[in-house]
Amino acid sequence: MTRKILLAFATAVAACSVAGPAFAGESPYYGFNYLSPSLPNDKCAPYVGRACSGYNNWDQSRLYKNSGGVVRLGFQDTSGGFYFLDFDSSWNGVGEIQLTRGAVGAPSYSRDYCKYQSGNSSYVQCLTYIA
Amino acid sequence: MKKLIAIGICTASFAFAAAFAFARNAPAPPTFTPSGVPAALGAADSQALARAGVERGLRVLGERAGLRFYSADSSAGTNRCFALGDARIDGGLLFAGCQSAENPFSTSRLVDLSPRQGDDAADPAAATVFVTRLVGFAADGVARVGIVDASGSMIASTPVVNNTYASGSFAHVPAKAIVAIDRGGRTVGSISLTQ
Repeated sequence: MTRKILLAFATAVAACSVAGPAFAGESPYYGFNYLSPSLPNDKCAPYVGRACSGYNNWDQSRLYKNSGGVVRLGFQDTSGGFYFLDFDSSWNGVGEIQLTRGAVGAPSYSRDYCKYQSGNSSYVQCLTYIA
Repeated sequence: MKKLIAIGICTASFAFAAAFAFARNAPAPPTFTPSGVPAALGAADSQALARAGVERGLRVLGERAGLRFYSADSSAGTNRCFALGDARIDGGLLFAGCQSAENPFSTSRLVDLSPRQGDDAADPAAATVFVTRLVGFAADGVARVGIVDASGSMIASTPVVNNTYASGSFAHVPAKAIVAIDRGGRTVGSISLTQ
């Protein structure tokens, strides 16, 4: 009986180590909607004008930016440190902006975020990506 | 009547001369003409670039400080897509994006992708920003790119080679702006990091 339990446990551990993360791919966590000094006010408490994902080993922070002024895109670590780039209106309306953790030096375990930074409100979709 | 016609001709002549003089003195828009070689990427990276808006003309501009620099054309025009890759063998893309601006270099002469860190305070005026290294693309004629601190002093800079720049890592010093400097040492463009 003990041997069977050990075998089942070993099988489960092996399966988990092979399977990797439970989720892979791209997933939106905000929008399409506006980022402004007051929006969103319920997507990344206690911050206003900011949306964020949950914590995970995200590989990229992604953004579709249709219109508006400057948007900040990046990662937040568990200690409150932020790693980011800013994207102004010149990046509006073409394709998906893709920013990896490596490009800004963020740690593996972090959360993606996007926020209003300045200028006019921006109409955006913010997405997580994990390989 | 003849006097009126003469006054009209004189006025028009002055207006034309003034407009011509202004046009001659107006600075030419910045250009971006790096040398490069056509690039071919793996399926995953090609798909990522397509999602970013890259249509054609992917070129490698060079490798510096562990980064590979790419430029490409979007459906909206030429030289408006920019990407960074890990220069190591099998290193993937680190950044990809395309601009809709007619001239991506018209505002600051830089497409700056320098990684930033900070407390990202709710009040932008109170926020502290650290530039951990300088990375990006520069217009023709930009010789160096630098970081300016709150006192206005340049605390670090790196040369531009073939319209690209990449420095090593810097100590964490609060930064106020990233500036483009020409061969004569003049500041020709600036990106504010604080408000």
